[in-house]
Amino acid sequence: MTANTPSHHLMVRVSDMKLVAPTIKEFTLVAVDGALSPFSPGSHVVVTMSGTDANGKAKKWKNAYSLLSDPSNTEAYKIAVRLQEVSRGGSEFMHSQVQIGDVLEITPPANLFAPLWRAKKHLLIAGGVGITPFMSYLPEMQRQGANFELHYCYRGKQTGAYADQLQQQLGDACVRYDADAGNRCDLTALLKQQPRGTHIYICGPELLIEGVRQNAAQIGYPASLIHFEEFAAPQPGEPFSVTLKRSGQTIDIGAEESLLEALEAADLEIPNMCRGGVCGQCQTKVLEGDVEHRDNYLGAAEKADCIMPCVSRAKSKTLVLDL
Amino acid sequence: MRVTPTKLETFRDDFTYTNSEFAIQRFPFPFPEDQYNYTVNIEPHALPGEPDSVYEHLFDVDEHYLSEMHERGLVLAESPKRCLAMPHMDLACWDLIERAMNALSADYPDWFKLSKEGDQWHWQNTLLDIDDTFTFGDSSTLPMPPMEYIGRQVQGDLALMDQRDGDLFMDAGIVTCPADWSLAFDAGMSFSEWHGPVPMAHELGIFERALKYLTAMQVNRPVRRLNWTLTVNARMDTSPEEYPHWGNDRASVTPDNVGEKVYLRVELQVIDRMPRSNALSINIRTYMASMNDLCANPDWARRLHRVMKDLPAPLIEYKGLTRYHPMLVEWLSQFDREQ
Amino acid sequence: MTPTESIELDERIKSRPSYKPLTLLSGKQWQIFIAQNEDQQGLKQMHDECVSIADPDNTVLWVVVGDDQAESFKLLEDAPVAAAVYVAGDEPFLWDCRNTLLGMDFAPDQIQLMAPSSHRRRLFCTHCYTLMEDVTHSPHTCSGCGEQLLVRDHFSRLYGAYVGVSINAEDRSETFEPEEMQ
Repeated sequence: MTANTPSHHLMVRVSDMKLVAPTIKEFTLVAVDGALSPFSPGSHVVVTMSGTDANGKAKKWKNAYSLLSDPSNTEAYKIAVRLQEVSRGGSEFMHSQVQIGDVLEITPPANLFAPLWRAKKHLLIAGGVGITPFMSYLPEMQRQGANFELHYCYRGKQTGAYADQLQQQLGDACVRYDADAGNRCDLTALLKQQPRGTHIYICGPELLIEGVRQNAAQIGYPASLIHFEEFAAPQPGEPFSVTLKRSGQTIDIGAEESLLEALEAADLEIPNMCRGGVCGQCQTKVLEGDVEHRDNYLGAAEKADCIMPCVSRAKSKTLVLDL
Repeated sequence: MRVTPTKLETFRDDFTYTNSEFAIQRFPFPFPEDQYNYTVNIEPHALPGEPDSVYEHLFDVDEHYLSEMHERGLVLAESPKRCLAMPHMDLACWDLIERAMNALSADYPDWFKLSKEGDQWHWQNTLLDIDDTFTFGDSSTLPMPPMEYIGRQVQGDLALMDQRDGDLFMDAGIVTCPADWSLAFDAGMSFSEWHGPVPMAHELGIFERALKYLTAMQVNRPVRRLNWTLTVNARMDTSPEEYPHWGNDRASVTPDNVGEKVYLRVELQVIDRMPRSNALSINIRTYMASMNDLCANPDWARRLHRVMKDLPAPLIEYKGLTRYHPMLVEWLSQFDREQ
Repeated sequence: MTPTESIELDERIKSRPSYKPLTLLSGKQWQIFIAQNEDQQGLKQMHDECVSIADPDNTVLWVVVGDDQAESFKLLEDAPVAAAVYVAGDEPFLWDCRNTLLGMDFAPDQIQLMAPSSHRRRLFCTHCYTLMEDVTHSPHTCSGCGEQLLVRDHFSRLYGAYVGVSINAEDRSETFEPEEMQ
């Protein structure tokens, strides 16, 4: 088999920008030329941001963002970016550097979080900026007359994008919980009242995902009905270096960058989709060294000799990779 | 160059199917080496491909268009269950209609025309004398179910695979010219289930790798692979359903008629991500050429001999060649004197 | 690489189900045991064990599916989402139950099938789509079209059936002695 060919990219222009919550900025993207493709609900794109780091050195960030526009709208895509408190640079760049009229490079939509259309009922649980993939679910679910409920948890002082608009559009099918106003979602009660076969989709912080999964496990909710999307942004760690077996090249990975980013900076094409340890595309063979696994993809057996360079790092000072 | 398809040939009974010089030249000969290697030979279907080649467009429309569409009609009349779509595949069927109509009207503007007024679409297929207007996405506005509607206008079999839980499921399709697999039986199967009977590839880890590759496929990045088998007579419908009617063709091969009876049957499989539904479509486009036609090209003749001679036994069995394989190799050896 | 030189060939067709021993799941509000008939001793034992350790407010159900299948499954209509189902019987029964349960919105991971209690197979004729029950020998004469069918291990979960393909379509003079299948 030919190796996965490198992703082709789309050039898009930022045609509009607005704050949709105190820490969340929405970007409207139109094609520079040609048309955009329709996409499936739950799709994301990876945005490449070219800027400079704190030392003024040129740097590229690549972050995955869910598309939140109506999937049948081919005029424009929309994404929303939450300014992270500890930003590795990406969300900071999107919030402070990007201007209307700027051109950005994105991947075509890919989907790791599609609704299961055979489900009789869909229960959507969003936390903060995790509302974004559901924004693309809702128009298609309404078109298909699907049975769904949205439960939306946020902190009104920081997040809560689109909350009023959703409430208006969906009425009783939307339940809001503003933690800053003291409202919390009773997950156990919510799960217990679901009819058999209800598929649950969760997007939000790890705490929310874990909360739902633990509650579900406790009440015996079948695991196959629970779907979640969590793009774990790569977390920093100790610097280390890798040696590439085939080229003999040695690459240093700084504390703040991921192994995947460092490999890309050295002009290696590594197939990837989610950049968050779930899709499995960037799986790479490790010939020597100990890995600190931070992904949700590799099975126990594969962990013995593989690494997911998008999120995982070295435990030892060096690794030798089969690249 | 491509000419407007006008001939109406048969793939059954009197078998009037023939290939023009042009069709033989562009035949997708599937053996890049003297030895046949079992690999996941998937490559990007980069468009447009080489002009006039079978790879030029997303859907290749060739001189056999009318004949193949007529043959499909015959099969569906006898066996309506060759076309199926589970209810959750409706959106995927419309994806396929959109992909096909956009591509056909752009690639062959003399034969296919599409105009859109919002959701109101007007479709003209001048080759088949079709002129319809319908509401995109509303299956009740088509004269027949969406899978059948597009399937009757595109050469090659079509299947739509639903993607869920990291696997692919055979949940819709129209299959009237298969190389011995049954959509009716394989309906709803997962990727590894419907490949269950294929020998060797499981052990080689081919399906595992292929599945990982396919589930990660992106929109607008179709890929292709070639698959091949041999067919006795130019029979399109070599389905298991009809096997009682074509099985004894295999016993009709003699040393004297190998050249005209035995056809190399090549499938150009184009796999494409459906944007709205996240399903994958596969178009299995079948090309057939007789040994006589192929062996007029000395390079192909020599290579055919070498590949057939060294074919592993499980493949000979799986492809159903057991009965006439030695005869074929003997016949081909006349083209490979320097072996 | 020539494949035949370097790999172990596994003759088993990969669509044929393999059945694992059942695991009694804890923490379920309803535990449902579905038996094809009273002969399902293994399942009965498991049920009895479940009764002995179950919480008093949990429901443990023993269902013998009689002739009236629909009536039997009515008992499950009120089952909560936190339910586990264990099924025992012959192979077609197992997959029929599974399909019925999926149609009632049970999830696949709620349903466990015990290894079939007999070698009897359901057979799908690939030529005329006739389904035949209690097939023990191959080849088997199709009750629909009369073809002598080679019973293959290629299995459809949707039909709960194996596929049968004409064994002598290539040469009608060939005859085959039926052999008992495992």
